[in-house]
Amino acid sequence: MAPSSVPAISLLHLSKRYGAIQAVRDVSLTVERGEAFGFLGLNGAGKTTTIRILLDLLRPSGGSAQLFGLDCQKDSIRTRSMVGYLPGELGLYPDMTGQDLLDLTAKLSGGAVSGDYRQKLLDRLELAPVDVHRSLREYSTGMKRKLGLVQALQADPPLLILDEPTEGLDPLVQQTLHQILLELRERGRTVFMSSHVLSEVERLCDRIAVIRKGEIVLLSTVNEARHLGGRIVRIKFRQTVEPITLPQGTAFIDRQATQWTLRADSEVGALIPLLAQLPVKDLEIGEPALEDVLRNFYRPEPVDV
Amino acid sequence: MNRVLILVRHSLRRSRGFLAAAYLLMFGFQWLMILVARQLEEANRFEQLGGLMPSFISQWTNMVAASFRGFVLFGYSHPVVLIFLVALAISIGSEPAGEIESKFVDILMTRPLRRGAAIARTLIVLVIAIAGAVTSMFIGTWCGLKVFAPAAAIVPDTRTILGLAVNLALVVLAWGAIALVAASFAKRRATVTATCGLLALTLFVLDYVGRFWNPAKGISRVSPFHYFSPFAMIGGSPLPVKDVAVLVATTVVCSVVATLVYTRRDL
Repeated sequence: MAPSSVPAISLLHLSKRYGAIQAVRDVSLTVERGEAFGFLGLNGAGKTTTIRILLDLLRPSGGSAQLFGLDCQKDSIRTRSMVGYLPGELGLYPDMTGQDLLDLTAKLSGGAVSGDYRQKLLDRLELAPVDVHRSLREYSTGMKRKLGLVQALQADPPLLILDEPTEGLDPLVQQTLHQILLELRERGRTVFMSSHVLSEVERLCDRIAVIRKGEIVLLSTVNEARHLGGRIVRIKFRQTVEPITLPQGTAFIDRQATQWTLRADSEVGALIPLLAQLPVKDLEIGEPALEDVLRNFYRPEPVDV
Repeated sequence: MNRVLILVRHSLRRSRGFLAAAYLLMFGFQWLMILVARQLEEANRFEQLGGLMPSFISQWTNMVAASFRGFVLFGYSHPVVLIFLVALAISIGSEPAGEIESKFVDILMTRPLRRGAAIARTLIVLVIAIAGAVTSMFIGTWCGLKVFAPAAAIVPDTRTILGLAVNLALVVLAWGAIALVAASFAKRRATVTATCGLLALTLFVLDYVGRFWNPAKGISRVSPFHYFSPFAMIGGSPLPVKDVAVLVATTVVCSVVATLVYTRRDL
């Protein structure tokens, strides 16, 4: 593997065009080793296309993609030997058993797969031996997802690329998976995941990128992203109050007769004297959920939060 | 184990039931041909049968149907056998497109495998499946003759049976390789099987037309079936080296093209 200073993932001006459709446009980002990175965007935004370029399933129209300093196209055998991949849509042959799939992918993987490690994963993700020996046509969506996760993780690769890893999993297994991913990150593994579940991204990831119409519109740490939304101020009044002119950097999000919700981009100090003149019953100042912040980046034209 | 061989094993394992049934069918068909030939021989009907044939058919087929030996060997060029085996080859050759359609390719080709491994795998599976089919036919003929051949009948010699089996295997393999080329471009298995099936049917008819109608003789050379001449071999000619060379070259060229296309495409 390349020196540890080389990032796990490096995309430079990456683009992919299908005829007239520009699926990915000038995407540049790096993911450091040992980092958990969330790749977010609506359906069709370009997440899966980017991931498939990293795995050399698609060839880029321009730019370059590297894993551990190796070109994903020119050195694809070596790069793929360092990746465990969970596709968003698992294409499984119904006549195969779970064991067949795990054995096949283990044999085709670059490194040796430890039977003990695989068994631990199966146990933690609650796939019983009897289930593993059943044919895949009998599998539920959740069971297929668990099997897909085990096949991606079983070789304990340095980089995990997971496309919607918790989709179809029950809450308890989701929690177990989160724990597994946190443990992997602690052991220095890099996790690159796309997800629609922002609470999951918030919990697991160090940094995020939001892709919209093939372009990166936000690239930041989770904390920084959360602060982009300013602070949310909720005020309840004892009686109906007339609207007032708010100080600069503060705006109404929601205004009802006895309750206001404001967004404060700067310090809230200037708001206090104004509120002191009003019949305030309760005041709550909180940070916005990442979901609220990112929703604005998902929209075609971003609006101020 | 070599990764291509892992894939071959996986593919054969998945299709073992289907292949076993196909082999049994091929075996049984040869027995059926021998049983019918025996009945005709015992009832002295071959002479009668020869008289019923139009002269151009008699000439072309070297009177295969007019003897016990010829009738048994006809089992290697019977249209049902030919269509069945070509369909089998097209079905196997379309595997790479099937993997893209089912998205299994996302699991397979994200492992450290060369793209060409998927094509090499399918080619090896084709060779094994077709060799298995003609071997089961050969065993069927050999066993059938031992058990059912009338004592007085002239039985076909092993060399002719082997020659027919090899020529049949090569023409079927060429069709498998043609399907492989189509599969290297396509995203859907049905597109490959429908296109190749229609092409095979067209070229099968073209070959027949070319054999009887001089103006079509030249163009019929594009048909792989043109290089399968069972009746000449039944008449005593050896396995034509030129035909073997054309069919082998078709398979090789198609495999190379399929590899190049599949290596460069988006999956």
